[in-house]
This record gives sequence, structure tokens and C-alpha cells, in this order.
Amino acid sequence: MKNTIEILREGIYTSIQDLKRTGFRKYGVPKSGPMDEYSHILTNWLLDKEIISELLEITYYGPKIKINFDTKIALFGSKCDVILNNNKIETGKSISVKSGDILDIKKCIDANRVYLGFSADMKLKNTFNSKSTYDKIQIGGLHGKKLLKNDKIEFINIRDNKSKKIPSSFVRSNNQNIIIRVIKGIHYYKVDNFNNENKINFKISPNSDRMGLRLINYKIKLNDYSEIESTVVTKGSIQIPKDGNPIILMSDSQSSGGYPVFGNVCKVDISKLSQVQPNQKIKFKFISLKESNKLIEYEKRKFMSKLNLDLSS
Amino acid sequence: MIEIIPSGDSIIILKDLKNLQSSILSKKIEKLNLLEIEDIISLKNSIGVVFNPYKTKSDRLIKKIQRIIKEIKIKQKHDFRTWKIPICYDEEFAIDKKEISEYTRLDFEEIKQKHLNKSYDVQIIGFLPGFLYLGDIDKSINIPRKHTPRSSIPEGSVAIAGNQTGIYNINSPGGWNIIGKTPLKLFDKSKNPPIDIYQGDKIIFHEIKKGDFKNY
Repeated sequence: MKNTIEILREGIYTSIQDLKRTGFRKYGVPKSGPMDEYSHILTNWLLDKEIISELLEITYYGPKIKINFDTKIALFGSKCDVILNNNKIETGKSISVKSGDILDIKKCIDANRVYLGFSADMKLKNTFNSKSTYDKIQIGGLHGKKLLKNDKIEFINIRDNKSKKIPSSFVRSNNQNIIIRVIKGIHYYKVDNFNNENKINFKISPNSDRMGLRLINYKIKLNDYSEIESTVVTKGSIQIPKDGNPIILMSDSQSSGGYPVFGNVCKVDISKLSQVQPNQKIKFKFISLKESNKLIEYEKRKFMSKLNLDLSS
Repeated sequence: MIEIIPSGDSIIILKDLKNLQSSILSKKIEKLNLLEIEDIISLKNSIGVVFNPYKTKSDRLIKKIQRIIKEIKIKQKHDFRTWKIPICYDEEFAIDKKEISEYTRLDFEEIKQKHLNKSYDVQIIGFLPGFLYLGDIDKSINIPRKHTPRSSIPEGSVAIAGNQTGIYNINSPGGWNIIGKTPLKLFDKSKNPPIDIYQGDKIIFHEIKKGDFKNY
């Protein structure tokens, strides 16, 4: 009997994502990968896997999965109700499961996405060096699309690792007043109406997806709408289209864009931002590149000292 | 000296590059296989280098790249290739034929000839997988993007917008005005690299009839 999992109910949008598709944006192929890299990395840590390894990214409402081999699993990201056979289980720790167990992942409660991993490797072919699903050209995952009912994923290299739990200092609170730190962008000088950033609230539009988050509630005006030359953008780049509603590019971001770049979300806040639920409010806070680099170093040291995990690996 | 500036904490941009210098320079930087670099994206007059900020910082990478490019000699001549791309302007494919004629006040036959009569530089590859930005087109056929983008444009469609013409190599939404279609599949996701055309290469269109599609 092969080592598989089987999708009994597909949920809203569950896809396979890793952090390996680099070097292909020059052909217009996005990096893809998890929206919330922080939770992705910590889920892999729970399973002693490389931080870039593939996981299931579960959006809003999860799948029901039959597990056909003995292994360990871990879930981390949004809080959500998870039922293993008839018992509720905790997220944020690795848990042993047996062949025949049924894992039922319900609604994401305080955020958008939760990550599910196994202490084994998915037996799937790579496209452009990665297993990340990008459904626009149907690459990655099992068949280039979100997981569907009756899909089966085969696993190899089944390992056993000791049980781990995410320390409380790594558990984010997804509260109501979310401040996103931003470095001013190369076209910020064009912005006309953004003098008091702490009074301006944006809302995440339900019309957001893995390519970008659309912000509503406040329109940014420019003092100059002349065409600009296309510029390279990446996850976290904030663009201002003509209608003034900012777009923050995310995992499936295009490689370049012709809209003015208002700013770039600092690296350590992008994951938190990805988990802000539709219609929730956010504020921007400007920081310098130097300050952002300090936050990155702080995070790197914290992961190293508390989890023995090298974020630069 | 080439000016390099940071954009956020994960991108640096090499600015104000002259015609196609970006294409040559980006290939040279790529060959160095620097582990901290994730993607090198070459645009018309600039290069964006996307890096992992846990591995390096922008000031360090800027210094490193400044040092490297000082040692690179850019030959004036470079081996850019010329691609002959078949195009069919049949009205089944040229779905914006009427609008283009109305806007430019030219009849479609004339528009076609102007589109065919130039060789184009591949200015940028990207935005969408395999999308080719070609330019510049004849001024008399410049037309703005559509106000509302189409939700689906068929693979192979050739379109115009502003001073550029472009090839949609995957099915996708888009706001350009469709002028024709090529039967060639220029983007192949099962190959690495997925596209053989490079930035800086030249494209010449030649007209084919609808009946010729089956021959490709």
C-alpha cells in the first residue's frame, strides 16, 4: 500500500506551495509560494523540515483528508478548529497520526490561511524547480490547480521526528488594530494626500487574491499622472493605480509594473499582512530602510536563538 | 558609473541604462550565480535585482554589484537573434480591428502594412508568463489601452497599446487592442527555459492566411 493522503472534501482553496521557485520571474513566471511565509517556515520547523519545503496552504475553510500512513502532522497559521477522528486537536504542534485517520480542518477563525505539513516529502514533479501551484498556467501541485475532491498525494521519505510546539513568543495575535510598516517607494514623491498616516485607515477588499491585496476606504491621489517607466516589483510592493485604491502585490505578483510604487511593506510585516481578513482595517507606518533591516536582523537572531533555525538558509 | 538604488528592503534597481545595456548586464550578473539573489529582471532601461534580505542587505549588494560591473566590458556588438513570427490578421483573430481603425482613422489594410513593415526589439519579457513587449510601432498606429481590460484573451494574440506591440503567450486577461494572432506557441511551461526568445532579440512579423494555421 502506497503512502498517500486522500481529499474527501476539498474546502475553499487548498494548494501546494513551497519557497523554491526563484529565477523564473524574468520569464514572467511568479515566485508563488505561501502567502504567509512566517507560518510556513514555522510549520516546517515543527516537522524538522527545510524551511522551503512544500506544504498545503489552506484558505478560509479547510479540506477533510484521509491519511493512509503513519506519520506526524503539524498545522500553523490562522486559528482554526481541527478534528482528528472525533477529537479536537491543537494547532502549533506536531502530532502523530495513524494510517486510516481522518483529519477535518474547519473554518479559519482569526486569519485567512493555515498551513498543513507532514513529516514526509510529497512525491510530485517540479515545474521551474518548485512544487508551488500557480493555476493561471496550471503548474505545480498535483495538477496545476487547487486540490480537488478524490485527489491523492503520494508521500516518500517518511521520517519520525520528536514532537515540537511553537513557543508562545512566536504566536502572533491577529488583533483589530493592525499597523503595517512601510518603506517609502521610489515614486512616493508623486503622492499628494498622505500627510497624516496614522489617521488613515485602509480596509482589505474581499476582491483580493494570491496576486495582490486590494485596499479600499481611502484613495491616494497623485500630483502627476504622467506615464512612468515600468519598474521591478515584488511581494510587498504597494502600487497606486489610477483609481487611487492601493494594490499590495503578493506571492503570485507580476515581475514588473507600470503603476507608481507608493512604498514597499517591510519584509517582517508581509506575512502578518497576508493574514488580515477581508474588511478588517490596517494603517501604514513609515519606517526607514535602516530600521527595516534592523527588524530583519532581530527576527533572524530570534529564530536562531530560540528555534535554532537559520532564516538565511 | 551606473546608479543603483534600493527599492524597499528586498530590491535594488540599476537605473538609467542605455538601449539594451540592461539585457547584456543582467545576463552577466546572472552568470555569477550569487546565492543571495532570487530574481534578476531586466526591463527596457533598468534592471531590478530581487534578493533575500535574510542573506544580505541592499547597501552590501549594491557595493558588490558596483564592483562587479566595473570589471564587465560591454561589447557594442552582441549576438541578438532575429525571429520571424507568422501572424494572421483575419477578423476572427483581430477582434479590435474596428476600434483600431476608428481611433487611428486608417483602414485596416494600411494598419496591417504599418505593423508588418518594421522589425521590433524585444524590450521586456514578463508581466504575464512569456508576454513579449515589442517596440516601437509606427506612430500613426499608436492607440491607448482599453478602458476596461478583457477578461480573457486567447493565447497567441498579437496586440498593440501605446508605442508597443505585444504577444500574449498564455490565455489571460488584458487591456491591449488585439490586431491578430500567431499560431506559434512561444511559451512552453514544460521546457526550461520556457521561452527561447531573449530581451534584445529582434522580431519580424510575416503575414499568413487562416488556412495556414494547421501547418504550424
